[in-house]
Amino acid sequence: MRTTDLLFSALYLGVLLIAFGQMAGLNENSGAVYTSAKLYPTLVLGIGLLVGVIETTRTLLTKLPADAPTFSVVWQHAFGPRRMLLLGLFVVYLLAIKPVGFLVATFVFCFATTAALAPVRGPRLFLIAGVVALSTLAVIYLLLVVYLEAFLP
Amino acid sequence: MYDQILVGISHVFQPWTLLAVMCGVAGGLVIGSIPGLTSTMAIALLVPLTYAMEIEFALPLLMGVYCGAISGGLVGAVLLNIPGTPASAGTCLDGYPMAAKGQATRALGLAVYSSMIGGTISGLALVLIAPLLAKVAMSFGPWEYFALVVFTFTCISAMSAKGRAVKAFMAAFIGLALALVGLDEASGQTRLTFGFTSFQAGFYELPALIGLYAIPQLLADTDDIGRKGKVLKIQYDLRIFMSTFREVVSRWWDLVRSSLIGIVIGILPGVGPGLSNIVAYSQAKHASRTPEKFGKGELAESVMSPEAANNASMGGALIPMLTLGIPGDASTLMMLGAFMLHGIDPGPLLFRDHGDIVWIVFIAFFVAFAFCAILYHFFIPLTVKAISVPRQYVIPVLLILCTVGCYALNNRMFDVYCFLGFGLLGYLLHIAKVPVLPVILGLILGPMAEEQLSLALAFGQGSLAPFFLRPISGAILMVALLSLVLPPILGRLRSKADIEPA
Repeated sequence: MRTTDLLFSALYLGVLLIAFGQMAGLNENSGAVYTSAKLYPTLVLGIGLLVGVIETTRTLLTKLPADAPTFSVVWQHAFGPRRMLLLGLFVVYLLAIKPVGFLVATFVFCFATTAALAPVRGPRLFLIAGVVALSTLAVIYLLLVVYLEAFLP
Repeated sequence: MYDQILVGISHVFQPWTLLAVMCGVAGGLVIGSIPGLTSTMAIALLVPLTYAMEIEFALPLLMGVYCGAISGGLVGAVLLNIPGTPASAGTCLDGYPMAAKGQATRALGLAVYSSMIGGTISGLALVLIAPLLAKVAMSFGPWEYFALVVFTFTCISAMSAKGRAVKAFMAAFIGLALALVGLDEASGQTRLTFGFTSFQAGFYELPALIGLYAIPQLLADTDDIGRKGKVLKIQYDLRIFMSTFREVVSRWWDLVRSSLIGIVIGILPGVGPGLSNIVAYSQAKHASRTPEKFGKGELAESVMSPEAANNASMGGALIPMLTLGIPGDASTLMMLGAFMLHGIDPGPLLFRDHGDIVWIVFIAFFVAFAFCAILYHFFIPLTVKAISVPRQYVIPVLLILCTVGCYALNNRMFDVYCFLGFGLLGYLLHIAKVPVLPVILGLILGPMAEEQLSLALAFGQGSLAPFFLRPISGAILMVALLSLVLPPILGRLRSKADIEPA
C-alpha cells in the first residue's frame, strides 16, 4: 500500500504545484482593500501542498504493517478485468451518444454490458438482457420525455 | 410559525405528494436492500430528475427515498449477513445469527420497529433543535461561518480510519482546489481553466457528486457478480412480525440511548449512520448485564440498538444541513444538492425566508417514516427478492440513469463528461483508500469559505484576531484544534496504558 500512497501523494503534489503555478498569473487587482483574487487560492493551494508534504513524509517514515497488501495486489484488484470492461464500455457509450444517438447507444450499452458482465452466458441471459435494455429505455423515455418534458441526450 | 406548519401540512398531504413519498419509500427500500447500493446512490439517481418538479413535491419525494434507503439496508444485514448499506453494518452482528436460528421474522421485526422509533425520535429532535440552532446561527458573522468550515474538515479528519487522517485533509484540499476552477466574481479573472471556456462557469456540483459516488461504487460492485451469498430462507409471518413491537417498546431505554447516540453522531459533520450503528451497538454491549450474549443472536437490544441509531442519525444529519448549510453525511450532501438545484440555499436564512419549505421537510420526514413502517409489513418478501438480484442487470441500468440525470440538469453533454471525469477521480481515490466525502465537501463549501474569509477580513480591516476573539468563532476553532490534537494523544496514552499493566 505504501507505493500506492506515495504515487497518490506524488500525483497530488504535482497537480497542486501546477495549479499553484497557474495562480501566479492572476492579477492582484480586487475591489476589496484587505483581500485579493490571489489570497484565498494561494492559501488553499499552499496549505494543500504543505499537507501533501506532511503525508508523504509520514508515509515514508511509518512502518508498514505486516498484513498490508502489496502494490501488485492492490493494482491487480483495482484494474480487475470486469471493472475495466465496465469502465471501457461506459466510456465508449458516452462517446457514442452524439454520433449514434442516445436510444441506440443506450440499448447497445445496456445489452452488451449485461451480457459481458454475466458469469455464465446463454440464450436466457440474452433474453433477459434485451428485456432489461428495452425496459430501461421505456422508463427513461416515459419519465424524461413524456412526464418531465425534457430532452434526451 | 403555525401558518408555516399548516402550509407544510397542506403541501405534503396532497394526494400526489403522498403517493410520491410512498413510491420514494418503496423505491428506497428496494435500492437500500441491495448490498452495495447506498442511500446516497438512491438519492443521487433521483436528485437530477427532480429539477422539473416543484420543490414542494420534490423534497417529500427525496425524503421518502432517503428514509426508505437507510431503512432498507437491514434486510440484507439480517438475511444475507451483508449490510445493504454501511448504516446496517452493526445489524449483521446479531441480526444474522438470530435469523440463522430460525428467528428471521423476529430479527426483522426488531430491526424495523426500532428503526422507525429511532427515526421518529430523531425527527422530533430535528423539529426542536433545528429552529433553535437557526436562531443562534442568525447571529453568526463570516468569522463563525469560516470557523465552521474549518471545523467540518477537522471533524472529518478526526473521524477517519487510523492512519488516514492526513489523507482526508488532502481530499478536502482537492475539493477546495476544484472549487477554485472558473470565474472569480470579485476580480473578474478566470482561475485554473487552462484555457478551456467550458470550465469558466466552474463545476456544477451534482454531476461531481454523482460521479464521485456512483462510478467507483458501481465499478467495485462488479466484484460481486457471480458470487452467491447465502440468503437465509424466511417463512414470513405478519403476526410474529407485529408481535415484536411490544418487545421493542419494552426495551425503551436501549431505544432512547441508541437514538441519542445516532442524533449526536448525525449532527457531527462528515459522519452519520455508517458510524452511529457501530457505536450504538458497542454502547449497548457495554451497558448490558449479559454482554457475553452479544454476537449470538439472542438479545433483542443487540439488533435494536444499531438500527435505532442509524435511523436516528438521519434527523441529526439534517440539522446542520438545514440550519448551517453544512451536510452531516453523504446522503444529506445529496439533499443539499437538491436544495441548490431548486435555487434554495440552506442556512439560517432558510428558516426566515422559506419557513414553509423547512416545515415541508419536517413533515415529509415523519410521513416518510410512517410509510416506511406500513410498507415494511408487506415489503419484506419483495426486499428479500431484491437482495438476490444479479448485479449484472443492475449496474448498467444505474450507470445509464446517472448519465441521463446529469444530462437533464442543464441539457448539455459537458455535465455528462464531468460526471465521468469526477467518477475517474473518485476511482483513483478509491484505489488509494482516500475518503471521497471531504472532496465533495471541499467542492461545496469552498466558495462559502472564500466568501466568508473575504468578508471577515474586510469587516475586520485585515485582522485575523476576531476569528479567535469572538466567543463562538473562537470556541469552534478551539474544538476544531482539539479534534485534531486529542485523538493521537489519547491513542498514545491508551496504547501506553495497555502496555504498562502487563
